[in-house]
Amino acid sequence: MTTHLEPEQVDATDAVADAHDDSPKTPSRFWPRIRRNKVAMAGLVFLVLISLVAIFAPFLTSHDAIYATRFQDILFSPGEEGYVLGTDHVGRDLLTRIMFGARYALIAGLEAVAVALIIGVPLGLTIGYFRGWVDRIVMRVVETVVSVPAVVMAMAIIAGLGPGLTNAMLAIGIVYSMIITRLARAEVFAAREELYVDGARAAGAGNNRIMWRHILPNVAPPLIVQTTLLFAQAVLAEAALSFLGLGATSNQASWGRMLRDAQNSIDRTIWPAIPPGLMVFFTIVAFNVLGDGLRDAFSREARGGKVGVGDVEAVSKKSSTKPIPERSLLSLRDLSIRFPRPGTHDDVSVVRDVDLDIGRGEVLALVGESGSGKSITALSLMGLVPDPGRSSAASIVLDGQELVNMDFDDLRSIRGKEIGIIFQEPSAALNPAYTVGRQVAEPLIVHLGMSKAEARRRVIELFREVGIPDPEKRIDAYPHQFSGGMAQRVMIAMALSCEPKLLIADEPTTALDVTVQGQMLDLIGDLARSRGVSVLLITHDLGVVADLADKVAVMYAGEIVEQGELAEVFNDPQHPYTEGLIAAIPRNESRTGSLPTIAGVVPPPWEWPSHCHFADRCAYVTDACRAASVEMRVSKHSLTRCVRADELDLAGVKRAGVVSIATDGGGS
Amino acid sequence: MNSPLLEVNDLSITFPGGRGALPWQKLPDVRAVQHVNFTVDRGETLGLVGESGSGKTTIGRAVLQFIRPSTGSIRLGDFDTSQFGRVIPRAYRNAVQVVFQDPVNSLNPSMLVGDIIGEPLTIHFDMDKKDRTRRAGELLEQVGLQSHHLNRYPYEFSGGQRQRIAIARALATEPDLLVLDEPVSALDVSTQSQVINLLERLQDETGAAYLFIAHDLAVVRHISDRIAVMYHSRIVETGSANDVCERPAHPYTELLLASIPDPDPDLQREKSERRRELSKGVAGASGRAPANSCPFAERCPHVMDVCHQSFPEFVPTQAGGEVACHLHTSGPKLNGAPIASLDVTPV
Repeated sequence: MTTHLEPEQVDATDAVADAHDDSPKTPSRFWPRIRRNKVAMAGLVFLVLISLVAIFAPFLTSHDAIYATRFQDILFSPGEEGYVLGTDHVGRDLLTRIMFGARYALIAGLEAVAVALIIGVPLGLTIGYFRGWVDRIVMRVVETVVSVPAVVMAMAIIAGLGPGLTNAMLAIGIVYSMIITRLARAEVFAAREELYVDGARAAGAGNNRIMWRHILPNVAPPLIVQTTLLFAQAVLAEAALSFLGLGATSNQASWGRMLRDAQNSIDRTIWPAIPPGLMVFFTIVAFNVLGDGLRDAFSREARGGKVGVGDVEAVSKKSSTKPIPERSLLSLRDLSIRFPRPGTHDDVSVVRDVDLDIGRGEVLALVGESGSGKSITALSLMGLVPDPGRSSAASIVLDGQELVNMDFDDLRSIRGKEIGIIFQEPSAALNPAYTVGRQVAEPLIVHLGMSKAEARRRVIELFREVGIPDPEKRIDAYPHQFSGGMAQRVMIAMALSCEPKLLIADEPTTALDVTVQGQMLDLIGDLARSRGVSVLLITHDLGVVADLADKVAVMYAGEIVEQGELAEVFNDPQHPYTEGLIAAIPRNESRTGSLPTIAGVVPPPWEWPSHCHFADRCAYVTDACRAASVEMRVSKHSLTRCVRADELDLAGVKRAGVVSIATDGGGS
Repeated sequence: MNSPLLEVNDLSITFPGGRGALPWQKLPDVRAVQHVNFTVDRGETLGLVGESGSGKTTIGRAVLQFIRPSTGSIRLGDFDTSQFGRVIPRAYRNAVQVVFQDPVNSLNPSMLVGDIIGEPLTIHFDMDKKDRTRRAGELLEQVGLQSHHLNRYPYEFSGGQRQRIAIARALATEPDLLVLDEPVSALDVSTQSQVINLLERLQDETGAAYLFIAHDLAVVRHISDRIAVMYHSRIVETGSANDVCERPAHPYTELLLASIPDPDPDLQREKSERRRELSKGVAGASGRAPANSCPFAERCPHVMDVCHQSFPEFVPTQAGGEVACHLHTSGPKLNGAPIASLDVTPV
């Protein structure tokens, strides 16, 4: 077979739809998140206030922090004659001392943290990056130091350096540097294996550049969080050491020193200890909540949604809703799935008005590019739409039972028993902590009420059926002892264990080697035929579809655009998107000129138009395509969502070479 | 005659086996690559095909000098990499660039696109900021993006666009050789063909040679001039792309070709029949690569006693390539004829 292409098509592929230009940017990650965290913001505001007080302390008070200003009736008279918090046992204004104490607390914290970072970051980066014997020696020292409480360690260092606030915080900083070193090293350990580090190395970047330019910015978030928490600990350590007389001296108004002085009048009143105690307490709390807030804001993962709660809402049947055929095992009517758009309160539909019918013993393939909504459609059948998402349908009938509006517990047991599912990544879908036998046996025990011994016998049978050699032994193996193909066989055994009527296979062979894929397709095909199981096959690979499917539904941008019998759709497609997919698949054939392709990419859901979703990428687009939304209609053997289906003569698999393709980038 | 750009001779790479579950247990070494020979000419594309674990990525990393060969040599132009000390010369880094499979992790998430592409420009050409921005913008336009994308972060782009950015960075040093390690296998079908077309256009424009590493023979065929097929640490067949894909001489190549599903349902019915005939044993290279026998012997439908006794010599194929299979020298003595001419039906 030879592919013919017209010359002007060569450049068509290079115009990339600039999908992001007109849309608001993906919300920048850090500031909005931390601003939404009220507790962390309260901590930040408190710390800013404390810092301002510390800086402007001399202008905020007329009293002196170190020398007594009140000589009669000197103890405990809050609110009297300008002494808002009263005085201590020698007649010094407590409020003034608190304000100056903030200076010592912050300076002490800064000093300790600065020492910790200056020593810890370069050391941790270096030993984490180069490893080797230096790393082993340094880590033994670090482990020794952090196994002793910081304050005790600091006292030992002060014994050598002599007392005083600066020495005390230097000592604390050295101890904390060990914590920073250990954290930085662990983070660098993981980051140096990242592909972008290899990329930088190939670009010619030296070790120093890779460490400071590439690795450090990516390991900074945990270091910043840890630094915030260490700052809090340093404030506490300063207070503790000053209280013990090892930090601030009597003419330095630190909070720890105030606590120590309060001991002198403890037999008369506890009051002078309370303001500095509260200040230490609130400052530490403020640092800690800020640290937690930073950690949350830095973490890139979306907040984990609850799985299985977003159940299918019922919508009323429209007049256009098609009746459910007699022989169907599974029928969906008007299934839609909506998600809140990131960073806004608007909902966007990611799947719209999907109708599907799978007959008994039939294999239906749902095909489309990533972002077309094919996987989420299948997940919704299992009740696995992630939490902020909401699915709705007029009707979901499985084996004669209406699932919409069904009681939740009944629904769960039907889903567990009647539907089996296999995923793309078998190794990720198996729990590494349990033997495979135990994992396959679990649904047998839960759903079918088998005893452990019965379940074990059944698992061995299943393993034999899916072609796992030596099943009596392999049943007690752990997932990591299986190759990708073998792990997928385990998944298939698990999915089939409760003898489901429907098997959902979500890209079941995408992660496997091609010769393994062949065996897996044979296995799924044989099992479906021998057991009469219906299969919903989700894939982007039209070759896999041709191998396994009886019927095919093509999805684009949340809608089914074409649906029909496999051979008819692939030989004589009725939608331009189907034609484009068929043309773009690289086949084992020689060619001249460029590979045919569909210009542009699937736009994000919030850019889907109300008219034909494919119009911007379509080579055959006319004004009629942009006039109104397009409904499914019959064209020859297929159902299609194309207004021009009748007049277009599209190329199928037998003559995929003569496709004309869009010459502009589409999108806009 | 011109000497080839890249010359890999008798390359073997062995990874130490590491420790077992108990501290005194030592696992045997892993033979990732054994006695591999190939060349890549200037401006040529060599496709290196194999399943996961076959050693194809390891060869790419050796060419990039991320790992050092255990034995054998890698020559690129005037460089003999065995002469390199601890620091790889900048000129060599200039000459060899890489594009990885994973478009998400291969770009530093905390750097702007302009800095990612600008970095090699700073390192290799010591450009100032103005020149760098101008050149990075040109490179972006060359790969089909716009120069105003310089001020974006990688996460703002789709997979195909990110792969274009990675290609722009790789082209920044004006390399002689690009190592493309599964550059399209993470992409959608339509994006995949867009990137392949882009790579072909860029090769015409820059004259760079490609070492295209992939597992999908159909994709490799479309971009390669020649193909080398690897199985479990060894190259088993080389030849021109069309010959390897139409007249395979090694039973493994034949199985690979039969395993690529075709979208034509009628053709695929025939292909899947053929696939079932050729499949034997459990698919997927497992265990350790054998040192002194054909690694495909345990899965080969035509296996003979000699296959378990030695690794076959390379013999020229009729189509002008080379094949390492005992079928060509003993037993049926194919003498380089396509494997399809074997009239014995496989068991």
